[in-house]
Amino acid sequence: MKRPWVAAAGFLTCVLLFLQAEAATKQWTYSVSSNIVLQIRTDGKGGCTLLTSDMDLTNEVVWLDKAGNVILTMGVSNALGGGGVASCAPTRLIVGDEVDGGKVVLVVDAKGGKTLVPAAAGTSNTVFTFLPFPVDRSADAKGFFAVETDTNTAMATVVRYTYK
Amino acid sequence: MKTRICMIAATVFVALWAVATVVPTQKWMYPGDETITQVVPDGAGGCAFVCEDTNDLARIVWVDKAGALLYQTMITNAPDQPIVACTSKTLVYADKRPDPLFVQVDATGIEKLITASDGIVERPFLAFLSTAAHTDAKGFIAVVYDIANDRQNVARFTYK
Repeated sequence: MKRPWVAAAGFLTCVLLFLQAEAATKQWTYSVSSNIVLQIRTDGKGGCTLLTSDMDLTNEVVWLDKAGNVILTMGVSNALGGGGVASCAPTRLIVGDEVDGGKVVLVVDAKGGKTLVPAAAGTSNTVFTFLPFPVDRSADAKGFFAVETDTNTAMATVVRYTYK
Repeated sequence: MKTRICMIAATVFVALWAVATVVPTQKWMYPGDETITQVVPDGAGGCAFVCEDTNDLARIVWVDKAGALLYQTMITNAPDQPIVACTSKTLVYADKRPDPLFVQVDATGIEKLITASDGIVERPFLAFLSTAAHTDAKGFIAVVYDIANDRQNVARFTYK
């Protein structure tokens, strides 16, 4: 008599576990030093790059790996005028910026090396933007990113979730 | 001579047939409303989208690769572009109930709320500019405007 009950309990547990399987799981968090997250670009592997701003509109790019560790940070100018993160991969970042008033595109590696995409005399490179803001992309095949804002301090934290 | 003509004719026929087969095929269409404001494909032939009626009431709709409804809900006070993620197994969108939070839905329509104990859960400031590639390996999603009924619908096409 005991065995059918044990089997039934086991079966029920499996069913409940299956039903619960799609609940998002928090993987890591990153506290943003400024309090506005303008843009998130996933690297497709669990990491991402943030474009942040403070109240003085000072912008910073923060590149995080799949564990939420900082790969590098760099300041950018005029993020709302043609700058921002154009693409993010685990080993490479493409950022739009302004140098001496001219628009440039930088390829950044994970060691912080920056390569300026060359432009012929009289031309400049820009990243594709819309209206002219940088485009957000905060989900990938395995999970997504959210911004948690503390309602007491107004400080923002970026959170990585997996779908299950 | 006759054989050569037959071979050339067969080659031309095959070439024309090959060209003719690369024509998009509509797999399904799902009714929207006055406006479709966001479409996010699941990468497997289905998608989630947001539509608004003439009173600006917004609805999130999630359909599978056959165009069958998985989930839909009216959303109030949700941000522009509320869909965060869509796969064939899960949908995540931003909503306010009444505070900002995320809602995760599985393919049976069961909702789970993603909240913060000391705050709110939001999309990034510029998330209203989020874009999704409306294509995958086998096809694409289009918004089809029904002129007669002044209505926008969502349709899935395969490349051929």
